[in-house]
Amino acid sequence: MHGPDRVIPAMSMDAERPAESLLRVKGLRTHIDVPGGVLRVLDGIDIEVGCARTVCIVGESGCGKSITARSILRLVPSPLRMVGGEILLRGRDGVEVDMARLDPYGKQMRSIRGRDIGMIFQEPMTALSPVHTIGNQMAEAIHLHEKVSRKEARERSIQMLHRVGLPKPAERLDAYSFQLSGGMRQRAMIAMALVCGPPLLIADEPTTALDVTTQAQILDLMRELRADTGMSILFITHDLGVVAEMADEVVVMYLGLVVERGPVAQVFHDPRHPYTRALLRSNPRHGGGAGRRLEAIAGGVPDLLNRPIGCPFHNRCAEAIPGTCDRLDPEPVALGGGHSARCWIADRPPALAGVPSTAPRAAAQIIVSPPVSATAPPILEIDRLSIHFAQRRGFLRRAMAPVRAVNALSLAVLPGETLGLVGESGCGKTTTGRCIIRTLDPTGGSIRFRQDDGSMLDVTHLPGSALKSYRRQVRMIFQDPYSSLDPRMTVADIVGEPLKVNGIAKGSELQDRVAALVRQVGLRDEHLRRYPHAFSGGERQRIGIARALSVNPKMVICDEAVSALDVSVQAQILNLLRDLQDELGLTYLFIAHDLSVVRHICDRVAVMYAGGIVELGETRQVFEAPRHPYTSALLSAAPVFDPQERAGRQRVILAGEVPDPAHLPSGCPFHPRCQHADGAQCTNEAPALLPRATAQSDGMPPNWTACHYANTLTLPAIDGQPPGSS
Amino acid sequence: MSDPAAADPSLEKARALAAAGQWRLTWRRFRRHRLAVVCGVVILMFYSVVAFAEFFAVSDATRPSAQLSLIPPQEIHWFDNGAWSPHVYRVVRKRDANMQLVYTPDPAAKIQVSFFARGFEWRLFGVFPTDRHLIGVSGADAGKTLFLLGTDVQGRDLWSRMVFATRASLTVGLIGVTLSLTLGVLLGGISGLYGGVVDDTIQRVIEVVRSVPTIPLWMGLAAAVPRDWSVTQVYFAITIIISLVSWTELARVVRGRFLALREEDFIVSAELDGCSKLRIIFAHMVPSFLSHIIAVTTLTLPVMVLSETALSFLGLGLRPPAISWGVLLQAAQNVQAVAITPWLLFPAVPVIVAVLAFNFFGDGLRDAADPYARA
Amino acid sequence: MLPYLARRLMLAVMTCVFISIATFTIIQLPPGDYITSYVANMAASGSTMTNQEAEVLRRQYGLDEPMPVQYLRWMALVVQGDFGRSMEWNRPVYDVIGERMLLTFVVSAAAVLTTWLLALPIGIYTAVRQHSVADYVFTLLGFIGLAVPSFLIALVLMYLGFRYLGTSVGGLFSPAYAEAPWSWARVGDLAWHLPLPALILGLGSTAQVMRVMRANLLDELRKPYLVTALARGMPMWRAILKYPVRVALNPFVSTVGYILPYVVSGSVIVSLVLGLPTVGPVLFKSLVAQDLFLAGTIVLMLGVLTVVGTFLSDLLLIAIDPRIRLGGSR
Ligand code: SF4
Ligand code: SF4
Repeated sequence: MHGPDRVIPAMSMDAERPAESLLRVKGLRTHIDVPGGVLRVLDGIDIEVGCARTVCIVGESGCGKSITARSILRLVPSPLRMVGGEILLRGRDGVEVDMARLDPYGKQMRSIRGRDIGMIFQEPMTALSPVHTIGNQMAEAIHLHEKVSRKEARERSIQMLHRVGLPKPAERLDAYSFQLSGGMRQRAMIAMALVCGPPLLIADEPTTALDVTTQAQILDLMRELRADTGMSILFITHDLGVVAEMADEVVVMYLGLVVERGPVAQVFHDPRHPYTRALLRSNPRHGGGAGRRLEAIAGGVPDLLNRPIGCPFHNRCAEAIPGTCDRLDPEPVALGGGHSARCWIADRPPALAGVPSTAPRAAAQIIVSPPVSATAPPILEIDRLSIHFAQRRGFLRRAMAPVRAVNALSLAVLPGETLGLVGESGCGKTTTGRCIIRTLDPTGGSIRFRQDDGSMLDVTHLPGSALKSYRRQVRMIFQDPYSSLDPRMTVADIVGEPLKVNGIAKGSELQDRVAALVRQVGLRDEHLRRYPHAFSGGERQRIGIARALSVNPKMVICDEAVSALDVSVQAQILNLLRDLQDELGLTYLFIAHDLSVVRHICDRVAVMYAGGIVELGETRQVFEAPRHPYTSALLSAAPVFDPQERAGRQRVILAGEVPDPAHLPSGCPFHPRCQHADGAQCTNEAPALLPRATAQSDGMPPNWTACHYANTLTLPAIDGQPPGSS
Repeated sequence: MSDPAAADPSLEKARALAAAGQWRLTWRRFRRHRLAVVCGVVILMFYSVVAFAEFFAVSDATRPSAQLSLIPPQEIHWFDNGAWSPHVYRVVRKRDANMQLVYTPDPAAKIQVSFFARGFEWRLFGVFPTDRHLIGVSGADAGKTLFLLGTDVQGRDLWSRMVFATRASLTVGLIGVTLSLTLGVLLGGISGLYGGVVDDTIQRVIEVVRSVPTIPLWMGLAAAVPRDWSVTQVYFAITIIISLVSWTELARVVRGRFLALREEDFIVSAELDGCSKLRIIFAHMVPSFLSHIIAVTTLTLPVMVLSETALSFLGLGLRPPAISWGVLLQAAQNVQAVAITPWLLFPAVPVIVAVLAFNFFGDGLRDAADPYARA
Repeated sequence: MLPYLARRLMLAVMTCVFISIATFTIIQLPPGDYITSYVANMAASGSTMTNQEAEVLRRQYGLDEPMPVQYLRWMALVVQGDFGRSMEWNRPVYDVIGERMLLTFVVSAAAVLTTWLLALPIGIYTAVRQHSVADYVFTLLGFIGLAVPSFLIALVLMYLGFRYLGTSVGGLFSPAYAEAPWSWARVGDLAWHLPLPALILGLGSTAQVMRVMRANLLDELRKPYLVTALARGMPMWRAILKYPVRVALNPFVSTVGYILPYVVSGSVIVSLVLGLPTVGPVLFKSLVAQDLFLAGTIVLMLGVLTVVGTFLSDLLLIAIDPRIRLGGSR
């Protein structure tokens, strides 16, 4: 449809354009044949990567961003085929080659891969061979492109591993990938991709599988390497925060098309495509404030099979012009400064702005959530909860050190509040949630739930029938909307199941209640007869919510309930949860790893580390005046949403990774990674979780913190600002 | 259908698909495997032979007749002078110069072959007496004149014997599968449900059983079946012996599915919904692996059929007067004999066809049951 | 690695014990014992034996003691390498089956090798060229290989050989070497005769192993590490052979665990058809004659042979899979 000759005039004329571009992709098209037609997975992509620049491709799942990377390397997986376009790469000799014309598996293309373009992938575990050593794979990369002796290759590999910050590189060279931790593996991947010194690195979601503190380490490393080597990076991600951290230029993709591109500051502060604007505004990080309703994009990303006619975004676009947008596909409009957008109204100043350039504008817009009365007695009390798992190994089932997933955790959940439980993977937050709902039994401590008559129900020792009635009052929403619904039941059956098996309703009453529930979560009656496979991720999560609410619970545990969703859909679900809370007076225990989501939806936050709570307090207080070094590090590791702020930012980059719960450090479990550890008390004595008042508390209740030095340390808060300066 | 949008056939289809349950989706996927569907039909045909063996048989397959020993297969002539008139030539028995028996067709003596002819009397489902047969000769004893696939040493019609053998061979498979299914589902289920020591023990037993070479073991067991047992007793003994090993595969599958499902969120959420253990197992878990079990069961059947054939072939399985494919093939054990009377190898054909059909069918089922396959 | 090794070793020992008990039970199952059938045979041939004489014989062979004692006595002897006397052949069991056992081992090993040599390239090719014509053809052939029992293949081949070549294609030796003592020439003769039975025995399991290889490799081919290797500039086939094939080789090697029982099983019955001088025909005869020590020893030896073979493949797996070597258990 679009010829490869289509270029954006404004781009090529632009004065600000880097003098020399390393990679120019023009009109790249990759299709897939399906019965009854062709799916245009990439439908004419133009990308330009300048020397020593970082270009980020951002988009939701299914937009074709990963396929773009694979197409550039000419490694599209089999049913897909590249059907047109130019991929011009400036070689080391300064001559441009069109990679699109090369035999994808021929000699010339092979000599480009690895030597001129390096690539790293999302899952370092599966991207490295499980049966070859790191050194073997690195040496292979060197030998493929250079004539060097084995010894030399080995030495270069060691140097490279050292360069990417892998401790004991000579030993690690002979290690297998399964012997390294996630962060180490990604470092090894990077070393492998860069060992031949390629001028261009393509990074496909390199930090998505990593925890936020590890992500910060890897992003830092990549920035450092870029500064050192002067290479260019084509960075593919779904996370706008990472874009704001990394990008010089941004390319926003939607349904196989570039809908907006430009310098990062311009795209973030003056987005001209409604999709970019919506994407920015639906992000809970945007504006940062809690309590505000997110501006979600309607619907979900359509299937490529049902790609809308006209502007591909028109069915979700709030600003669509009837008669134009639904019939005519817009061309990219140049906006100056290398900024362009593919929209009929791109050159009009938008009715709604993008991200404000400095102070969060949303702070004033707080919609008051039901006031959490500090005096109301808690609905759930957890007292010194411990959950340990015995580990047995080998034929003789010898007992190994137990996995201490949760250690003496105490927490009270107040009625009507949303309490966030945040932490990195393995911190015990999900285990805690599962124990509250008693799919896991605690090793020690107690969990007590307040019943209607005010009496406390000891959840830890509930017999079968009482457990059943307890589970009607406390419900759970799962992370994975795909596996949490029985694929063999219709929506009506799924939502009605709790009503039926608890004998609450049957017959036509059951049907009416189910229909009402389904409407309440924003689905339609016609959906009732369908099976889960017919729904998108967001819709499935709605079904899960309807099921959780069917028995009128008091409290809902949301276990990473939005983390599997695209950001635009995530906003819809967060809004729905908030509306339902207002309507039904629910209490939420919100388990999540995503700080921005937690900051957005939670009234109070508990930060977990190594099976215990290290800090607990009002959300604003925790985010703006953290008292625990780990909280502070966690906050500053999270990418900021504003590209302009990244320069002057003061960050704490944590060394190392989350400890193995089978071998927790002595004393303060955080001490091996803590900058403020004193080497004595911290190593020997576990700090208690205590309220610690600070100068900045401005009337709010103080945070509870488990750190010996909480009162004396000065710690940076979110956005890297020292407390009080914002 | 009052909805105007319903008129759009593609929309209608999408809507039907959305409301289609897993069974319907499985069926849709299965239908796409042409070969598997064809094999399903073949299997149906085999089992109709099992059910109505007497109808397909030409003559009583047990009566020996020394005069008719080792007659080669007859050729059916479909037309007579251009007119539709299926017939065979009468076989004339002579001794040649070396005093060897030879049979020669006599073109002059035509015997009319007819369909749905009358023959020996039998009882439909063991109740209703009838004497109709698929093929017969009009006005003569089919047992003495019609030898579509020749006769064996004792002069019994091979076609009829094969028909009856089908009954034995395929039911041994069915009963054996039922047995091993019961064992497998029970032990696999217990193993997956309880875990721990029980699971470990059952797992070890399975591993041990699987690493034993089966045929020597079976031979030993089968040889231990007393010589004086009746045909039925031997039949069941052999069936049990064969299923002693094949339950392991089913148990493994059931246990694997159980373990995998136990961790699935939808099972956890069913528990949270207040479902009882029984309801979780039977309303949620069993339906989601039933299709797998059906597929694995179908793939176990041919193993059974082959095992029985092998044992009977050795003379350690079913024993005459019982007839099974293996028993028939026993006559072909001697190469010299086969060289002179190659038609004795015919019973190998249904063995191969049936086993192939089961394999393709089961494979198609398994693919269709895979929830990760595209709809 | 050690826990894994210990586990596999325990399993091997347990399997051996199980087999020995099963064997012993089988042999004890039929009513009466060898003496009973011996007496019956004598009666058939016209001579008679008094009950007393029979009792003496029984005591001589220890047949009057309780089962567990008989079992333990038998096991004690077996462990010492004394397999008892075959009553049917009236020679030590070892003499009857010694060489046949060796040949059984040779034939089974050759069959496993054949299986691998056929299945590996076909499995790789059909996985890499999924949905190609060759893929369908081999899949079809594989199914046929699965469906046709090896003794039928043997039968048909024998028939064809006899019919068109006029000779017997069976056996492991030419007549001249059949009874000759071992020499290089005899080994050569064996090597010359070996491929056919090895092929016949290997075909059935080839189909299975090929499918295992294909399925595993298909999984591995989708893994990102292949793309990573290609992104380093590896040529396609070299990358496939070095990475996914190498990884898929591990489950491939562990298929021995189930092809060996299958092949050994098949060898018994195929040997009968092809007239191979392995233990198969002897087992058959001894079972019919209820020759306790002989049949027991053969079943036991075949079982142990399988267990040892499987254990060897476990060792091989340790050697090639670092995840087992360096990790705990699997
Ligand atoms: S072209 Fe129309 S529908 Fe598309 S993004 Fe622009 S305003 Fe929205
Ligand atoms: S107690 Fe010590 S080690 Fe732990 S967080 Fe505080 S300062 Fe750091």
